[in-house]
Amino acid sequence: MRFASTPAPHLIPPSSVPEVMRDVLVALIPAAIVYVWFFGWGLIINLVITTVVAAGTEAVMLRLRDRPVRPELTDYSAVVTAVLLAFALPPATPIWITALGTVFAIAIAKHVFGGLGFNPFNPAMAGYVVLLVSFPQELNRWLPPGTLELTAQSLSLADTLTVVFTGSLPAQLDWDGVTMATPLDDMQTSLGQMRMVPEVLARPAYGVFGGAGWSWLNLSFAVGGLWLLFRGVIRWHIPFSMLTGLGLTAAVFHFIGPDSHPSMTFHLFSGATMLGAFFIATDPVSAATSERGRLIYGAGIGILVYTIRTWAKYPDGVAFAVLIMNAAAPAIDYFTRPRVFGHGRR
Amino acid sequence: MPEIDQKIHRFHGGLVLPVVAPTAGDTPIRQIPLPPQIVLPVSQHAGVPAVPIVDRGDSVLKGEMVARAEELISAPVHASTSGTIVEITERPVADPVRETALCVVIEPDGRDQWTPELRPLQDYLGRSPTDLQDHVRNAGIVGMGGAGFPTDVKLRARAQAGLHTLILNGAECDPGISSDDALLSERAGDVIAGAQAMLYALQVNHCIIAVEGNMPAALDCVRAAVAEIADERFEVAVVPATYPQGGERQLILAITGVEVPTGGLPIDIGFAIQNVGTAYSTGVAVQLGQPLISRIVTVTGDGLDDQGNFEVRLGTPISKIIETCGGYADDMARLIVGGAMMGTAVRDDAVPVTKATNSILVATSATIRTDYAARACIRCGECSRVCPANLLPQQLYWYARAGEFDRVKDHSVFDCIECGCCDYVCPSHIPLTQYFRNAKSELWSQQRARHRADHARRRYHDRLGRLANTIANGNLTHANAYDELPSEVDRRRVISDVMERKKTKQKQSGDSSGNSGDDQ
Repeated sequence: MRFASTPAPHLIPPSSVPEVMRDVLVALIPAAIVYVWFFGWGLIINLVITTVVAAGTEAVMLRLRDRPVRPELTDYSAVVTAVLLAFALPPATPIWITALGTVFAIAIAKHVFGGLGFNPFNPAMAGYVVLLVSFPQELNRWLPPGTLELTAQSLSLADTLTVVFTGSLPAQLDWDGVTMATPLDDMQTSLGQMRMVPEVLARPAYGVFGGAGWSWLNLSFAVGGLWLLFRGVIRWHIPFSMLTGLGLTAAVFHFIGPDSHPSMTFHLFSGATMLGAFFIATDPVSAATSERGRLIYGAGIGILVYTIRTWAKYPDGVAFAVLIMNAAAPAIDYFTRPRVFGHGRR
Repeated sequence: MPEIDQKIHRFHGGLVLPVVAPTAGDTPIRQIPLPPQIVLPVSQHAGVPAVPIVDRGDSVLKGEMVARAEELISAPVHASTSGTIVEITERPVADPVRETALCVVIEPDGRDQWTPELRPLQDYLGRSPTDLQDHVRNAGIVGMGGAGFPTDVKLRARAQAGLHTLILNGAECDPGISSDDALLSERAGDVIAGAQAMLYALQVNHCIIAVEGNMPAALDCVRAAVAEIADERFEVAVVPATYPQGGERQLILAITGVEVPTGGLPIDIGFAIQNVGTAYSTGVAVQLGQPLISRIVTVTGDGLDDQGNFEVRLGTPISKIIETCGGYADDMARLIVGGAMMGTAVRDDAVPVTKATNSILVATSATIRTDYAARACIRCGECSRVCPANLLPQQLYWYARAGEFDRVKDHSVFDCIECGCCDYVCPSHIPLTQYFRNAKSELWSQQRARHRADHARRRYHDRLGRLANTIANGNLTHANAYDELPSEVDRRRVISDVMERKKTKQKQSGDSSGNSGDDQ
């Protein structure tokens, strides 16, 4: 009898790229529910726009690059980029801004560099940062956590759709009445106005850990992230070192000046901390790969996030911190090559 | 009972694989009946193939030598049954590189009659270690864990300074194999007798028997056998059943915490490693005088009804084993000689069992990889997480794919033991092991090509030099040396060379006439 001869190993691999990507999407479900609960339907609209545009861009780019479209589209990596970008954008972002960011993320940040596996920068963050520096006004129009009735006006689904598709509010609403600064933004501005941390935290928009609503959102990202850790999709090094880097830096400054520097928990549960720690910084393609390298990489992001939040112009710094460390990842990898078995101990 | 109770060291990475070996404790070792033909490859070992010493039509008895080892690193081959030599020819073999190899084919006469010339060496203690080493060589014993390195060569290494410990490797090289387990469970006494002979041949006084933690039956038997002989030189070590624990580097690390240096061998740090099957064969050769003509083979996989451990005559075609085990399942997809991680998928079930065949795996597509579509590397780093050599497979892959073989070498590709762990966990299903095997052979062939080129260049320059000398000496009788030069460029070079020499000579003679002439 004749049989097929194939190279070893012969065992069926236990995981695949599409499964990994699907797990990431599943892990974002709790955060999606919390997000919609607090900030309304904007996320769902953003998700639909980014996903459709990302899939389309991916298909066009694959065809332009003479790559097989179907197998690479079904690795779901473009969808993950799209979903992460949707989470990063404010809930009522005009469609053309969302679409532009998505096209940039997929076409420029990913495919121009060679597609999946070859992009030095996290595509979602690259897309987000391009929008942030190009359209600062629109990208800072965050809504108040809806259940708290912190503002006089709130956006209905129809209102949100109007904003997304026309770029302007329905006649009876105005931006000042609808939007509210994020806790990080508010804290930065207030501290700049010589207010003290406890004063700021006493406002109704703040809860136990940080901003009301925002801390729940961070918690829900952490829940999804822990599930990814449990599934072995991500490893502990980057989330641990990023949260430690941010937390320790915050703790030190808070210890030195508790009135001018919010606490560690405020930083850990505000803004995009948990999204960044478990879903953005852990993007393996643009991160460092060795275990020691990942510890350095994560810690660098954590410290940079604190630095940007505290001393830079932007209220949150996760996207910038990730991109800066993306650029440093190859060098980190070079200097953290593990000692190979049988080679002298260094 | 001497037992290693010190800390067992873990190697980096490794895998606990979802593969279950046929339990050795419950099912005894069975025999495979005599096949219609015995096919004995003359190369069942690492090194130079043996040379057939029989002709077509000769009759041979069981245990008679049919091929002789003529080089240092080689091993003889013996008839595994009595019968007639019907052919000495190329036949399919289970080899990752070659499809066929030279084989001595015996048609059994059915009597299975031993040669009367079996000479045991039970009194080896009264002889020199060299006698024992020669005895092992003449018995055709080679490493039976899979590598097939001639055992006597390793036993002769005692001259090396610092050799202090013999390690008997009872950790299976691949999950799903239980041949060592079965052997230790049933024949631990013979294994230890062989180990005692090895200790004498090596002139060392310390033997560690390493058994995996998931082999309780074998462990009990080994402990009982060691207790019975009351030999203080023996110790038992229980190591975790993490693949690839059976790799000798990983095993030494686990037991002693010491790493074999890169490019080195266990012997460099004082360890001799022998598989338990090799020790068993040595024991049999010493006690009964029987050469290596059979071995324990694990037959397993979901493509067969009957599974277990079998004692198989060397040269038995695998088809005979399959037949004994009830034939293939309808959806059978692969026939693998060796284990699921490192074995060779063979095209033909006519291939024979050899000294290095520890397992036969018959699998359906439900349990074996049949889809080889690969995606781009996402640099997840799982490969480096599981690498027992602590390499960065993703970087190696990156450079190998780009053809940057210097970088591949710089990233220590030669420390790769090709265990396949990285391959298995890769979510992009990239055939990493294959890339590294190719990169290694590419580097080897580059090195060979460089050597050849250097050699040719040196030879060519030497020849030009000789021709120049001939001309310079005015000695052109040697078939017009000048005309022999291949090209105009060479002629010009030789002419300028000749002029140069003449000038130097004149200068020298001028100098020496002025001086005392003793400055040569």
